[in-house]
Amino acid sequence: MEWQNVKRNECQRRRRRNSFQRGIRFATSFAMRLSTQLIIPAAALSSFTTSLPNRSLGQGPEEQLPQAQVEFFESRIRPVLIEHCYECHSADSKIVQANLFVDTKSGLLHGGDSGPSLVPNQPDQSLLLKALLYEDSQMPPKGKLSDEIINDFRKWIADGAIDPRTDTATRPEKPWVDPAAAASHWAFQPLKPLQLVSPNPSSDLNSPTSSQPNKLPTNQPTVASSPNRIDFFVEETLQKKGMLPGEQADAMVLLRRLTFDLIGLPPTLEEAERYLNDPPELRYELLVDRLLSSPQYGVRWARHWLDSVRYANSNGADENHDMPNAWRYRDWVVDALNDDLPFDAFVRHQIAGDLLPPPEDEVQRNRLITATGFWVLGPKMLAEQDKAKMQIDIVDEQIDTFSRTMLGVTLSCARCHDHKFDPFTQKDYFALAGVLMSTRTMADQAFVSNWMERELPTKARHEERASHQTKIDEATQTRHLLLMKIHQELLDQGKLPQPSENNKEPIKDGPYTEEMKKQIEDSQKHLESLQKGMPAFDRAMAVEEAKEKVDMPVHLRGNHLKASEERVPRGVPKILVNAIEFPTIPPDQSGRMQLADWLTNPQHPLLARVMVNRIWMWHFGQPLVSTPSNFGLKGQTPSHPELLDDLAIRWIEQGWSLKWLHREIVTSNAYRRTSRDARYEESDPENRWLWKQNERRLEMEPIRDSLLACSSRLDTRLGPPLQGEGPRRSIYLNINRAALDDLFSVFDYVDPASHIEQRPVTTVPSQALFFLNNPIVSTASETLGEQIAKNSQDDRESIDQAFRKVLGRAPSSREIDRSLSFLQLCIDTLAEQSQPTPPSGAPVDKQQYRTAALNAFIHGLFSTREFIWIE
Amino acid sequence: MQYKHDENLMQSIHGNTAQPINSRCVSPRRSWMRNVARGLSGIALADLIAAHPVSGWAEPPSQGNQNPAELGLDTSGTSGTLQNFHFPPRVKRVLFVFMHGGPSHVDTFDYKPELTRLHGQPLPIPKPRVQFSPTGNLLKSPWEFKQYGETGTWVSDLFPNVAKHVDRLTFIKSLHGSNEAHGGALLKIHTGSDTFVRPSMGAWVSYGLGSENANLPSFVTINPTLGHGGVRNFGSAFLPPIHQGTRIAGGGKESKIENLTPKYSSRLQRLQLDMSRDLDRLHYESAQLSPANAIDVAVQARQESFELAYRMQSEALERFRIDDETAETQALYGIDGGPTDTFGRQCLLARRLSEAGVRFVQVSHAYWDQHSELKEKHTELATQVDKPIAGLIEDMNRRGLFEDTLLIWGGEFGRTPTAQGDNGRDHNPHAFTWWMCGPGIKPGFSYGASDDFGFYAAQDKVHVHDLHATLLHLLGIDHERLTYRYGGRDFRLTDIHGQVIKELFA
Repeated sequence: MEWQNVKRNECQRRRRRNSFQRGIRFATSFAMRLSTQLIIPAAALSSFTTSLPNRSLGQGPEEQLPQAQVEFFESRIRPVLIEHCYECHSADSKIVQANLFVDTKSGLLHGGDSGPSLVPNQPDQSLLLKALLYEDSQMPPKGKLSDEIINDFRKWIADGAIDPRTDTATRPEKPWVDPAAAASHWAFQPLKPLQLVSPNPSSDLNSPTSSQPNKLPTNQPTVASSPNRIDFFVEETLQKKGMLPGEQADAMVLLRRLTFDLIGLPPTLEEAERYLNDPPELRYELLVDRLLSSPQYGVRWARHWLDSVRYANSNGADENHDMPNAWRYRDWVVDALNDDLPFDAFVRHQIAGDLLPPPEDEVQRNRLITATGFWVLGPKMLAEQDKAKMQIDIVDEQIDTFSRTMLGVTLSCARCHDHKFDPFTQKDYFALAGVLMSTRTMADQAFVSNWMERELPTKARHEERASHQTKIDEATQTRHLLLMKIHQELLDQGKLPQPSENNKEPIKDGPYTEEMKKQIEDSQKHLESLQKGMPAFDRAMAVEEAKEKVDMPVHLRGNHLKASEERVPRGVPKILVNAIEFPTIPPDQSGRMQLADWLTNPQHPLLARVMVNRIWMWHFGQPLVSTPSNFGLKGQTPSHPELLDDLAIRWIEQGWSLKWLHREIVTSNAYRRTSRDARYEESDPENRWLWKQNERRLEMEPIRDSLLACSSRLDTRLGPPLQGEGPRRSIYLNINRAALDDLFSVFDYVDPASHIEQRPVTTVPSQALFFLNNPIVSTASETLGEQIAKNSQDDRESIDQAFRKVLGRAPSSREIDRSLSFLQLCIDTLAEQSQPTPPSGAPVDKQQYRTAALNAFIHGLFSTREFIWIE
Repeated sequence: MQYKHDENLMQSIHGNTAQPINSRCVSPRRSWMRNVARGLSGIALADLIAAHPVSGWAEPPSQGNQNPAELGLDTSGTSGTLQNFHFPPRVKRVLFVFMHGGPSHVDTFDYKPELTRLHGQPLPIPKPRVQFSPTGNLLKSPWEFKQYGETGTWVSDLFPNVAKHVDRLTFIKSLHGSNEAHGGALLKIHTGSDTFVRPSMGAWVSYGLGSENANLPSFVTINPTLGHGGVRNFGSAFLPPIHQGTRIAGGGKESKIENLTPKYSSRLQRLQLDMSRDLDRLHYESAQLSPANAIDVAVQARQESFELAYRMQSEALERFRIDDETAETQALYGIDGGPTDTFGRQCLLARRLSEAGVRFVQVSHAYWDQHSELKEKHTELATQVDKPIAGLIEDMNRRGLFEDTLLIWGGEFGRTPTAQGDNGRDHNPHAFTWWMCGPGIKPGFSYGASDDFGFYAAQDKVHVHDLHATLLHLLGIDHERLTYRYGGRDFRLTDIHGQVIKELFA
């Protein structure tokens, strides 16, 4: 319903657009007619005059308008308005600028965002004249009008701004968004708990055990499990759609799927063996447990979160400065996920970790500081010289990332005007902006400004510093003694007339000998190097409360130079306060703490829904709400609304444990279905109803990690740069926003400067070029080739091993045949292409060709679709 | 130079060679394009892109609005988004010669005798609210200006070679932007926003019109800076990544596109490609799915992308072979080992790419940022580019490229008429000059003017947004209708601004 409204509005707008040219012609001819004769229905005029807010004109019915001044308006003023102003300031404007209409009398008197355009009889007080004079704003923007025209306007206003126009043109005063539709919008309603009526009376889906991983009945030979609550909802929907759920995928497919999904790496041969040796009815659950407790889980899933919060290692806006401490936030996320930090705490720490009661343990305390790096990571225009603009732009970036990531709404659309599709007003925007303006994100306002970093003090470092200070003190003392000794010596020798005032400091141009000078210099250097060597505290990008806490004025049209008089109390969007109250923020607090509390309230309609939907998306390749960062009125409705709410409620009940949520999802039958299923390809090509699992292409990180892992070169250690490290997992690569490595962008990780809703999946030639020619692929092929050549007797065995390593499965006999024929063709070609056989008849090194052929074969195997598409 | 409405040109929006081709495109020098593209018919790049539809990242085009045909949007998927031009296009592609750092307009193409007269005196009008850094009194240009051509256009001694072509050029002398620092101004020029992450204009053009040559990217940028916004200046932001500019690092003697140098001989690569294809087929056939299913299409798409990549290697590398050009042509560009050599090569490469059908080619030259040493450095920089650019104009002209290619020259801002020290000028986003050359616009024409000192655009002001709107218009695109739905709303290159400067059109 609500979008029909929008549709109607847009249609109207379009119609107006089409009639724009006509409108001008009409207005012109109308003006000409009027200039000779006034034809205005008296009734229309009287109703219009009574609605006039400004009565200073005191005009009566039309016959009382001084004819000469009406003519002056029609011949000198109206044509100018039509020619130079209507394009942006009339009912026919495609976009009305500054909310100002000059095509009606009341429009001019009301004025736009900046206030009334006219003060009749007072040209110098009239904004319209000021704008024409290019004093305040500069209108028309394309160039100042001639002095003659401007003088006409001055005269017209001075003479009372006589304007014979009627306000027949109605302009839309209606709010953009239907308030009723907004208030009843599904995503803003509280989560709805559901009592399930089980399709199978013998199993009680409401019992608490149903939220635990399912225990499989032992008489079942395959991995299929009894349905969990997820399956109840999914299968109910399928039934309604007249569809049947697909079959479960086979064991090896599940191994590969789950391993990539949970840790972002291919299963090792050892893992595969272990999995197959486990009892069939338990092996899948055991695998889930092993993978979720692997530290590589945190590496994989932190990357997903980092997409949401636009993590990178350089600023990447105008000045691409390194962010040398950004990695601490990254590692905090990895650790938090591995520790299964409850998600509500995970969010609270990022929003206001610095404001929580500081824990005794310094490591925990520093983690809370580090988590607030969330606010600081965004790209900033550091060299913007209009520092007020810089600051509000930074706040805007924060609002954009925060609202899309945590609330799943696009609040930053409301910076310049009320949101066009959602019930967010410009006041809502500036209420939240006040919270962030009261938070210190920048360390200074220097020419090229610096962002905030905070020290992370530790006891150990304190002690180090203290002992270092002792060394400095000692060196200072030694130096004093040295100088006193030297001065005494000079005094004794009579080279100094009297004791120096400050015996401990060198005397300027003192009568020192060369040797003395050197001694003094050495002691000075020693002291300075000690002072420089004072061990610094580690630093993290982090925020703190600003000194001044401010409520923001609304910026008219988003222009920071045009602030409203009234200030908006700090807070959150009004429409969301319906569900959970937001407290008044004390004047000495920014409001971040209140924001964190409010957001993580278990009753909050958005946070859990938005996050469950994202976790689902990262498991299934597609979310339940297909606009994961837009749960607003223009977002999509969920395919399985009850499932979404049920999962969200149970997740909160389970203490917001992400590992619980993963387990719940991956142990469902829905997750374990085969992707090789084309039954409903026609009726539901996008698999919205989850009749099968989706085939998914790996992202850039697991592609690179796999290439390294398959050739046993991956260094899987966690944390900051290490001594003598090998190639690390891709999450540890440097992400330079202004010079993004092609590897990232080729595989659809294009922009680390803003919130990523969902990674796109494209198939483009540049990816093929990567597999054909990139050194990462050829090195992986050669390294693996070398390993296989060592461990295999013949070509068949090499092929078998290569398949198992690269694709995680044994080759079929036809695949072996095809591979063998490639090896032979390849050897022949290499032999043909190489130098002609030496006349001496010396044997050519056949082995060399075999090695090259095997490498080329493995390279070709890496280039298969199967390598990067997971069933 | 008069543009004639031409059905064939209209049809060839996607460079689809299956369509009848405008006679002027069938000249021998271009026939290779068709040869290369032959056999590709039916394989539109976007088919490959859309091989695996992902909901969410590219939300369906605005829902409240929706008659796709009415919007000129194509939902079936071809190489560009636009099914039809919004206007008859005047140009098919753009070659943008970008002067990074901000060349001084008052020392090149915007002659201000008042500066000489009032040299050393204070600026008689107020300085802007926000300045990059403080400046002193008025500084006269260290260069002589002379009149050139039949139009008698004033050009300084910095560009004597380009000056010979003034009667072909269309000047805009009232450009203004909104950011006084390099990074912001570069982003403004390239993406229309100095505040947010937005797609580059080249990416928008690629998104709208697609590629004319499936073997080459549709947007190439030669020697771009990695500072001042870096990749964002040629990035695709939220547009599908295929539209981001392909970077050619260097672009001088050593031109390089990532992953383009074949690892194996062409024969071996062929064998490898065939094997990978067969293995994929064997694997997915074993899935026993009906032949018309999605997997089959996806396998096909992947194979096609590899075939395309295979051909791109040879085509792009061929485009890089500047040495194939005659000695006379190379000399025209100043490729002689001297100071003009590097930029000459870059310009010639740009022409070769443009000629091969790359929609948007940018070539960048740095670094025109003379806060001091104005006289010395501007002389040095102008020497490096004057001859190559003049050569480019001459070469494009004699090859008929100006029938459908627009050449643009300009920097991210101009410089202040007031002095920094006694031999420098500060950034000036309030007035600067660009020129264009190409079909559909008035040759030997100058639009707009800055004030008497060149500090502010004064008459017929052209904002960067207006410039973008005008460029899109020349390409047949309505800047208000080329939109992309992202994060809850429709975005466009010109945000909510932009006025087409129709006065420029012939």
